Amino acid sequence: MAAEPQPVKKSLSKNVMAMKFMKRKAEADYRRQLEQEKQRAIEESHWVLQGKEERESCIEFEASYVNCEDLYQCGRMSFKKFNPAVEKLFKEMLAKEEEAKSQEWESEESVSDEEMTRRFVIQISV
Amino acid sequence: MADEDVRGSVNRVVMPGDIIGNVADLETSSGKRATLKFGPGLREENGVILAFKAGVLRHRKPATYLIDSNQRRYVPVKEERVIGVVTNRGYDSYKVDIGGSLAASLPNLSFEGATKKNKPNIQIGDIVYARLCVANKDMEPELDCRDVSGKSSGMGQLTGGFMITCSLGLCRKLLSKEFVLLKSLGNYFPFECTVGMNGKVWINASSTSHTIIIANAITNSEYMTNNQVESMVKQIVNGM
Repeated sequence: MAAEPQPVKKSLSKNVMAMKFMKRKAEADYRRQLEQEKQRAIEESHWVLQGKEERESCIEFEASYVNCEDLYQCGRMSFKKFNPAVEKLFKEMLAKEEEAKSQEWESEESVSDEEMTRRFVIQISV
Repeated sequence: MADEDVRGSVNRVVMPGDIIGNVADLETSSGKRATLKFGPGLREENGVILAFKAGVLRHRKPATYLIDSNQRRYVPVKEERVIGVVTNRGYDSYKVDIGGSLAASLPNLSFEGATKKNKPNIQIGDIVYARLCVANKDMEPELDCRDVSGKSSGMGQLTGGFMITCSLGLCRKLLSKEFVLLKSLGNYFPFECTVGMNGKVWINASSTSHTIIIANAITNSEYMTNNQVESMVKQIVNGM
């Protein structure tokens, strides 16, 4: 009876492994692993005081007018293509603001999971 | 309720020391609905919200209260972008006058792409546009010419041009999205300008006369409404 061939773990030859880019990859993997272990150790060392839950306050303070009055973050502006680089930056900033606003709006307007289930149940029962 | 109290004093003048509301009452009345935000000029002391600036109490949606006041002395606030004049060069940082009570420091290396060997060469008297990365009342403010992601995003040295100093209120007006002055000037003149939150406006236009016109228009617009601004701009263009 022919013995079933052992599942051989594919590994590259010693010569290939000794090549510079292979070594670099191995080193990067090792470093990442070390980083992860360090991160885990840090997370485990954090501790929380028992029975002292911080009551969440609904009041916050904002020292800057920029966020309170919805001002432009960046004050650089250019008109009639005087400085195209600045004009491009300004447009990018506007687009970013628009995106943030629409995202906020979406998260506000969306229906919660529970609400969806409740409505769905009513619909089906009718 | 306390919420009503706060609403009652909206759009009224408040003085330093005036009590705006009680923290505990505000917390119970607002419930879980939304977080109340208190802007510049308001702080909490012994469980009450207190005004520490003279001005008009304003409300902005959804739940922000702030004191609308005008002054010329700048008080540094973290993450605000300001224009400053370099007043001194040290070994590893510049001293920059931003109009506050203390000069700010600007490290040589806090420019995009700056290294120990490749530092920007800024002279005394040059103008820089920078972000405040350290600003609190007990420490010297510190500037940075990069945004959070390390890009310059328009900050750095401002070469050429002309800088004027105006009130902080006017700077806020220029930066607000409703005010039309810069946009309507931009329909007729090619120019660039930079508005710092510290009351400095830097203008760069193609000719000296344009720079003067724009600078005058900005200083005159302080107490103007949008309609008045538009008629002023029309007058300027017709008079040229």
